[in-house]
Amino acid sequence: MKKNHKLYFFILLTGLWLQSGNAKGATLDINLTPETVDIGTFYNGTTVKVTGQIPAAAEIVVRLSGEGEELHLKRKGKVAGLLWMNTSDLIFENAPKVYKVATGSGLMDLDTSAAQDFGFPALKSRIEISPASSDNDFLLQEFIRLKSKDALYSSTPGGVSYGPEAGGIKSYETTMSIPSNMKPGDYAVEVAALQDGSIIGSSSKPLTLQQVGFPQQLSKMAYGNGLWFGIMSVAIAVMAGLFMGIAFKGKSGAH
Amino acid sequence: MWHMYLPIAGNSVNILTIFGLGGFVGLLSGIFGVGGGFLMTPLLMMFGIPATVAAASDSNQIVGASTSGTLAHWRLGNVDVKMGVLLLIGGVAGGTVGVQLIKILRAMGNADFLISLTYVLMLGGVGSYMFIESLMSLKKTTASEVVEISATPKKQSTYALIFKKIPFQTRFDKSGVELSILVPLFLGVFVGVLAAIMGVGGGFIMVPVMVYLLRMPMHVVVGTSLFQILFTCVNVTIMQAKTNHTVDFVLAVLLLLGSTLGAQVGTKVSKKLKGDQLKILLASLVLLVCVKMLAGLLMTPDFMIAMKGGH
Repeated sequence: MKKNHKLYFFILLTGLWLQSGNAKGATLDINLTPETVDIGTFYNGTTVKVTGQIPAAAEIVVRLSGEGEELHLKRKGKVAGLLWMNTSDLIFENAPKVYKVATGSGLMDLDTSAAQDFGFPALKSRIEISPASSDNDFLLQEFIRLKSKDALYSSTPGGVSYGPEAGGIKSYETTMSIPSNMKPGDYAVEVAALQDGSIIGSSSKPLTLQQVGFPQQLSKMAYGNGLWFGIMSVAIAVMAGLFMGIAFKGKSGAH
Repeated sequence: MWHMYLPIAGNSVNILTIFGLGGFVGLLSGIFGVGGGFLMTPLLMMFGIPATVAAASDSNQIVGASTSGTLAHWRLGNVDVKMGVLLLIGGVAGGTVGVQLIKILRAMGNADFLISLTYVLMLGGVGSYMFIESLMSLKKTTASEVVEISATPKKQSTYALIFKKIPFQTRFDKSGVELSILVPLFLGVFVGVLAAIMGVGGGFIMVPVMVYLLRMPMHVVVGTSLFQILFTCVNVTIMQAKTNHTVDFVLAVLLLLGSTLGAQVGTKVSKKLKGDQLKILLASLVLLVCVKMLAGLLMTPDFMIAMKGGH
């Protein structure tokens, strides 16, 4: 009888979670607004709102990341003990194009939690640096700093806010900034909920950035027919120069 | 609304900033006859434009500014077409040689070190010489072109003697000099090689070469240099668009709006200044860039790694 009672309680609880889109160890509730970002003529970066619901006692971590790419970098060093120069080549393989992490206020130290795979330290196993050297850790830190300067990597502990608790459930919300230098392509927003030191559920949604209108037309032309694009660019530049020259002659002629 | 997205650079910029930047560099180009790439490319990179896109789009912009500037200088009778064409032919040949040379240097390793060193020494040497020379002749008298010759009488005579012996002598009316056509051809090759190695348009090397080695009057130097730069940049823009897809048309147009205007104003300013005043200003600018480069080499960088230009 007691056993049955427990079972009943568990089913009830699961039902509650399922109702709000949550289930233990299963899919979490996640919404993106917008799910597709259009890059038009006057685009200057934007924001994407990530919202959803999790159990009231849980904490959330949100990560926006892009697919890995191979990057060629230069390492700087001192030459002749005096001049700072690019001294050697480095290849960073599988480096995410974008990596932005935000957590709820109760999860300020992500790196020591069960969800540490969502943080920056996880990049260590993800990014492969060649040639391998003893200061790969230092190079990775420099890489994260470099990407952070361009706003493509970021970590915001406490950046996710929670709504009021109701029926053991609370809502979460965070605004992810999309910098204007984030390239068009497919990205993913992942969320994970943590409770009592373990991940109780996770979910992910795709985010797409695409050029539309004028920028899209220009890109198509530049990559589709480079020669004509070059000739057109030069022709327009020459015309602009001639126009300005003629406009100015008229002006100075009046004097 | 004050921002525009650059589809090739993959970033957005403030319209007014880029317009102002174009105006400033266009002004310099109208005054001194330099393309201004050595200033524009690093500035654009500061605004988050990839190096390769910055350089290629800048050369597209220079096409507009130098068209505008050449037209203005043409009206003032400052363009020596004959000299310009010879320098251009030499420059194209030199550029081709330079690109091959840089490949060999890179294969040998340590190319970056050599390039930076050449750059700094070149800027420092040319800047200092021009600065001291024009300062001295400014002090002596205001009639710049006459003094220039009398200030260095010994050098002039040996130099002139050697030059007189080279075959294919011809007269360059606009510049008022008599020279072998081989001289501008050879000097064009020399500047072309250097420009290719240093990855710059070469205006700031070409101008002193025309002033001191071809002995052309400063105002004709400015007009002829712009004429020459126009063709070089047409070639570079089309090549970059075709092979590397690095010309950002939106960026170039925004820069153009400012630079074509700046080039016209610059020509007016140039007209008002004496040859030596122009030289001393250009020398200061060249020295400033030299100091900035040197500082970059000596100071500990903010980041110990950097993205490589190109893909």
